[in-house]
Amino acid sequence: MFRFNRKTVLSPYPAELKFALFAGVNILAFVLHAPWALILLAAFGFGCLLIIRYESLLQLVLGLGMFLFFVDVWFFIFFSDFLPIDRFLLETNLRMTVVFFSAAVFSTVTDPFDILKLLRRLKIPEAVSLPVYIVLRFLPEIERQFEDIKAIQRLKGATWKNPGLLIARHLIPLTFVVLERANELSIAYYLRRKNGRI
Amino acid sequence: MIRLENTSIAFSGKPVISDLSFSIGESEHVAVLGKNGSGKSSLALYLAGVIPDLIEAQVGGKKQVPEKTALILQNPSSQFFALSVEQELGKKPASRFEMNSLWDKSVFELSEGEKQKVNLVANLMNESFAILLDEPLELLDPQEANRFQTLVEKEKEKTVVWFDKDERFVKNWKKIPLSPLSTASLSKPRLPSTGKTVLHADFSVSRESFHLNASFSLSENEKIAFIGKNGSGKTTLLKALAGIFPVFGTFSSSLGYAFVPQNPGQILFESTVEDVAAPGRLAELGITAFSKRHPLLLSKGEQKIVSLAATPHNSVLLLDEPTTWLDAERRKNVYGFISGAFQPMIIATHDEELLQYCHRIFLVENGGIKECSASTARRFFHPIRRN
Repeated sequence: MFRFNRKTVLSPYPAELKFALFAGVNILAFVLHAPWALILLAAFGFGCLLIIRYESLLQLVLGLGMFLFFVDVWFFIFFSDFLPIDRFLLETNLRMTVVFFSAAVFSTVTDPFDILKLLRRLKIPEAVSLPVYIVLRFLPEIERQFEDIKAIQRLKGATWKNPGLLIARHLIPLTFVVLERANELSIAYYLRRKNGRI
Repeated sequence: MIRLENTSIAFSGKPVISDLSFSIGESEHVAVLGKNGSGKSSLALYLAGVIPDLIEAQVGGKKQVPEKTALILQNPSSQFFALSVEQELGKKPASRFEMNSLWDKSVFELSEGEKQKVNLVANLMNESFAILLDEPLELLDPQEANRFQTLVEKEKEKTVVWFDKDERFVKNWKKIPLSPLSTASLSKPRLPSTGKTVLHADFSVSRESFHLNASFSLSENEKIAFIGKNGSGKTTLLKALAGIFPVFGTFSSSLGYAFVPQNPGQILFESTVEDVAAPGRLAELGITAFSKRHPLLLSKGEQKIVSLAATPHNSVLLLDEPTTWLDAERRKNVYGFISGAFQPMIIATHDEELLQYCHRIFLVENGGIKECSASTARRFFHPIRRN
């Protein structure tokens, strides 16, 4: 899902412009309440995905669908007594769709290093900007590791017969791999700071 | 000058280094050697200041190290923060580092060896007074390992401490042993292949701008090795057979497949080693001693050998670098397992010694695979042979 492809038609534009567009769309999505306006924003995001020829569109839509399903169930269980739930869920789902689409476009057309430089120019503290950068920089690698884990579990015969076990079989190795990488990154970052390389 | 006096390091009360003392002079090149789990990485992290500043541990004794001490870790990717060499280095390095050809490249175009070279050069440019190397060649192909090693050895004015499992890469260096090094020898002979074909493959696989054609067959009980540079497509080939990447063409086998990735963490899920292992595998690999332990709490080398024990019997084993992170003794166990197992295996490797336990060797290069003789394979590995 996360590809830092610099060869899209939107890639050459300055990071400031892309960030302003990304932030603007998301602010609008949270300020506006009219469903037609939110649908328009989501359609704009989807249009951008088509323009940049986003490679993993199906995965993105499926991921969004699963996420929205869990969010809806959660809201329905805990908030249905004191919220106009139909209207609330419609707005939430549309807002999340805008966030997902815009984040996918932004992460695809922007070099994370440009994001780091931009956040530094905006005087965002390093405690915030560096973790954001590191997450964006290493997401594609974590995604590749997850592809491997999925295939390994498939070869080991893991099936949907026991969904809980299947999810654990994916999440435990993935968590381990992510923690291992996070540990290496924190050591490398500590050494850079200590030796004046950041 | 690096000096340790009566140093001890313990995690949650469990000692990993006890009463260690040594002294390394300025501009000296020294190798610290020890088996899996002997505390090499902990010692390197302690010298670099990561322990106890970042990682909590109980430490004792006296330590004297230069103020700026660089540490190069095993995994080149984790240390490469930027997306291009230019961003990573900031300014152009001196010509002696021979970085001109890499200067414009993005991180996705670099091989593991090139990334590790950039890590080293970045630290050398930063005028670190001492360089610590924690098994820096573990993931590199022979040619890249040789280039990295030459670059390190040229740095006569730097103090360099190289932590490794054995003396393969540091034969002529002054050595500090952390544990007695293994002299184990392999007694199991290679089992003959039966000649009955269990897999026939003729396919091509494409990944972004990379394309590889493969055509080969595999007999019952046969072991074939794929050798080649980092990025040549060895792992891609195994992943294609494992079903991770789609292929154009066909491959069919009367048996199933089991894939053991280079990173053992991807495969471990169960709560004890004996739950992970297939019947009889722990004994085959000589690791019955830690059958009750939790796989995710083992050292990287121990996890690696456990991931091999997880492979089922009736399948074609696809092993990606099965001897990475293993010390000499555990490597011998894996050689014994490979040569003695009654099942076919396809192995991607940078380990020259492993080739003698395989029936056939294929060289992966220029988008294809080509069967090669033992002498051709020797020529491929020759650059790391040093006396």
